[in-house]
Amino acid sequence: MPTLAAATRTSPKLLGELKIIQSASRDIFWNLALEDALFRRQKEQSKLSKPDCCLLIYRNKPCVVIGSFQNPWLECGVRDAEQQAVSVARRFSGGGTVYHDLGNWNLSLITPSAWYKREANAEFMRRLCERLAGPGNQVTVGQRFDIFNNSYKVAGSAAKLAQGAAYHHFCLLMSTDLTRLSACLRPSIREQVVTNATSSIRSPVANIVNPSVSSKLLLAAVTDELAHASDFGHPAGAAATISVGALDVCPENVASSVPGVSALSVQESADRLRSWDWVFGRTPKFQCQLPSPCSMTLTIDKGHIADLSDCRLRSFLVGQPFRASVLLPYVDCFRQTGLLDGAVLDQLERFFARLGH
Amino acid sequence: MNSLLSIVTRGQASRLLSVGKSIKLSNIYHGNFRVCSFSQQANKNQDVYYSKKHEYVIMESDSLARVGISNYAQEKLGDVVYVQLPEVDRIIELNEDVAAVESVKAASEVYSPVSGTVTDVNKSLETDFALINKSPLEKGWIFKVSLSDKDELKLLMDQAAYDKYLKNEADEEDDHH
Repeated sequence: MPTLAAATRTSPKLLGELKIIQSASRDIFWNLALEDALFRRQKEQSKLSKPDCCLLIYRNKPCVVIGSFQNPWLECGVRDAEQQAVSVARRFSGGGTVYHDLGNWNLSLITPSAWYKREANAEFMRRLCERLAGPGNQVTVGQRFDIFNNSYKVAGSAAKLAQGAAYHHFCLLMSTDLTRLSACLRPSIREQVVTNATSSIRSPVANIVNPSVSSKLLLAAVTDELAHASDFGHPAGAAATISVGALDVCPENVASSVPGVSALSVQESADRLRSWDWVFGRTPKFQCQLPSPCSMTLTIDKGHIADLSDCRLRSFLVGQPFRASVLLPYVDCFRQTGLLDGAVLDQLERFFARLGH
Repeated sequence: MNSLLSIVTRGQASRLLSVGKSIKLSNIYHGNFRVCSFSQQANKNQDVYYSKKHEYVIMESDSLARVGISNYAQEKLGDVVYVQLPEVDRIIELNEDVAAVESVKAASEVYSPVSGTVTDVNKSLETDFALINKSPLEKGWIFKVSLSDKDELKLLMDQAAYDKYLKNEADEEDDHH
């Protein structure tokens, strides 16, 4: 029970250990779940007078990762992603959509909320990028805490803030397949849409170095930059020690390699992140206008059709999930019954097919 | 009033200067002016209670309150681009994570400083999230709640205690630099 805050407030003045850990998993859902588990652990840790904190490094197999309050159908080609075995994930942090593959490195600094320092974290990333890019490159921090190398975006960032804990994560393009990146980020819905979901700000991107950098080299660069962290007011400068912990965290060893994190809870959280209800069902309410010959407006709430301007279809489709596997059989059914004319059905079919399974 | 102004000014200025170099000093004073005018306005007819996490509770009638984030919180977050509202009729517990606010790519959890039942959510936020920045205590409220235990208000801070709390935060900020 909180008591009168002004009297009992205990905010950390100094940090204990900053531990660098690395995931060996390449599954975006499991890695996001691990990050969330570390964030929850941090909330408890932050209550101590000298809390520990950590830096998590992870990479993923090809996937598209949308921000917490985004619309996946407007941010990426859901069907195209499915066909290419690219997962679509919704993360807990804010911000816009990014594409990950093994050439993209994610660094997540998880700290007490009093130590959430956006500028300092961005400066740390800038220095890291500068070092990785080598001499002769102009590496700068953008207005939204992204990192640019010679005016191409090489690292994006997003954050999650809560009582007691915060994390600020960056994705760093090292040798990502940029052609595939662009291909995956073409919207599924190109029709007119009314939404208040967070939209992505698209920037020209580039990899920071071409011959792929090894995990070892990156780790050495990270450790070295963190050692100089007090020069730019970074939380790591307030840590009593900076150490390298487990570098091969995976579902099999997470309980032993990361104290305070339960393998089962990470697994459960990963399953939830993987679910259609989380990735698509959490999409902020939006309206989509299909042009002629369909000429109808669909309202989608919680990933389900909440309303439809065409009264012939309303009783069939309202309440249905907004996914091809459910809606396409209805189109077939309408075709057989001759409820709508062929051109309208063709348009609906094309539209629904793009929504993904 | 003068001493309150100087306390808030110092806290706000220190925090804002550490957050963004692009913020002009004149804006900080403008911000403070708004803090003071709001607290005065709200105190005339209604009591404002604050949590340590910078949510406020303003009593609108005997057991009905509106909840939102403080002026300090909105200034610290920056431009709000999305607000996730709770469901009406949801039963909420004290300190439960009930809503979320996104600003400059940061998703922040909003906790309920009281327990009860959500009776209404601010629909005007859905078309204008910036209301949280423009008018955090008035037009930018997030949800209304029918309180199940009015004694919980005793756990919260009044305006004077909250102002003092902000000053302590600013001092700690100074200690770090």
